Amino acid sequence: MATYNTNDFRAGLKLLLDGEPYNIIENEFVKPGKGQAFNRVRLRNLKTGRVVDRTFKSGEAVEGADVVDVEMQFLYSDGEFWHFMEPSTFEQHAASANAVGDVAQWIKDQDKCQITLYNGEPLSVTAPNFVELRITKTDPGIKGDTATGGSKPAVVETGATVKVPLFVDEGEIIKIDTRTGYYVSRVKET
Amino acid sequence: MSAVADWRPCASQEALLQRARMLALVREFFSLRGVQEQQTPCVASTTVSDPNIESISTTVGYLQTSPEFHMKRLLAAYRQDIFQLGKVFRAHEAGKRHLLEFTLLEWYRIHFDWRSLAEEVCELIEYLSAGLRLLSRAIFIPYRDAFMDAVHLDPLEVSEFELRQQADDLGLVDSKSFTRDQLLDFIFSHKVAAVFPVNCVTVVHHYPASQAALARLDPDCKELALRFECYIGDVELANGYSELADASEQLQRFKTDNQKRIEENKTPVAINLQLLAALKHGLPDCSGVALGLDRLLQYLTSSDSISQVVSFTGHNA
Repeated sequence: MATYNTNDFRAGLKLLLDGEPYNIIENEFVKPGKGQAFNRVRLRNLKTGRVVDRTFKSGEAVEGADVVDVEMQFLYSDGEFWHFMEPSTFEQHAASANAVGDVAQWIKDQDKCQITLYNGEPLSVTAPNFVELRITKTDPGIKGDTATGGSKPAVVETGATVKVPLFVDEGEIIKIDTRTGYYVSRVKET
Repeated sequence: MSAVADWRPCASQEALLQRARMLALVREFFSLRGVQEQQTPCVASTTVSDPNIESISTTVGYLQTSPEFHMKRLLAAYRQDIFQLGKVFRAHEAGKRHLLEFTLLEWYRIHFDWRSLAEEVCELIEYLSAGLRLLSRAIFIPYRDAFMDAVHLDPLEVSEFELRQQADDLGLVDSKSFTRDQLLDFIFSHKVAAVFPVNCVTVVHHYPASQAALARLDPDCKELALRFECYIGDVELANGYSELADASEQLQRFKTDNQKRIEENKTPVAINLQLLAALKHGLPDCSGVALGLDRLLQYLTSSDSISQVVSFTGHNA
């Protein structure tokens, strides 16, 4: 993998630190009066998500991490792995449950996702910001029932449970914000 | 798509107004005290030997990183207190508090010791802050005490191993490649200065001899140098000394610097023989200081980045 000089540091650059892949969030040049210059960097561990602060000697070479973000289509899950395909090359990748994480509850086949590959292996999966899913099971909402706060649970086709307004019925398609897990709106079927 | 850098200035009109005001106040301050404004070259055939400063060379000489050597030659010749609002240049320095080209307010006072000069720096900062920021009384603290208060280690006695551990804890990568002084520097800027109060000047004085730069050593304690720095919060504003006047010691420091440069794979620089000749002739007993004017203005206008207080900079000059 390429080596970077601290002069190349900028947000978004992927580095290898202590054998783990990190993403630079912030980079600041610091030079105390008569001394050595430093780069104060804030990084996110791409495996654990943890954010750390590190200082590097300016001018030093640091190893880059082989991390790339690729857009892929979700194919299917066999329970153990989630299989994705790069639409341009037809290359398939299997992401572990760990790599997929919470995203598993939002994706159905053909959905486009962002896969982060580390050394060619899926490290993490990012779902699209919004998904449209059909409600497979929900109780009919009783008009005027505000005791429950005006919402009821609904199960969608991927198996996830979402809180929806009382007027939403089984069989309807709803739009969900995958970042929060909240119902956004109903989707009219054309 | 190739975008043309913005024609507009980096600083707002208000910031530039404050800049104009500050320059006028600096001149007023020194005029009242009989300190003469002078100008020395921006380009010269020699440059500093400091291993941590990279000079920019042009086809006709080096862009000066500091007016120090020229001003000392003026002092040796005419023995008059002088100040300069000088443009200086340092390669590869760019950041929230760094510019490749910046303004150093540098001045020398004959018969002032380091403390009198440090007090004058505080007076100047107060003079320039009037109406912009309210500052409390300055705090004077020896380097050793400041270090011990913040880190609980004696910077003069502590082992390199312990320093390295501290540095590692503070997030320094590859601390093994740092010399003892570099470790002290790193820890000082990341932990000691980090807690300096933001509403007054902190004057750190009596630096370890290994970090003396061009300061005279303390005659009462050769392990320490008569060097001081002024901070506001963790922002370094000024660096001053009781000036080294001994030519042979100055030569020795040049040689040590060059040795360090070679060790760090940097090209050694030619010894400044004219400065040595001026010292041999006789530098009056004096103290000198360099203050980062842009940084002071950055503080006074509460600007997030130093580029917000200069007309144009690197990317759109």
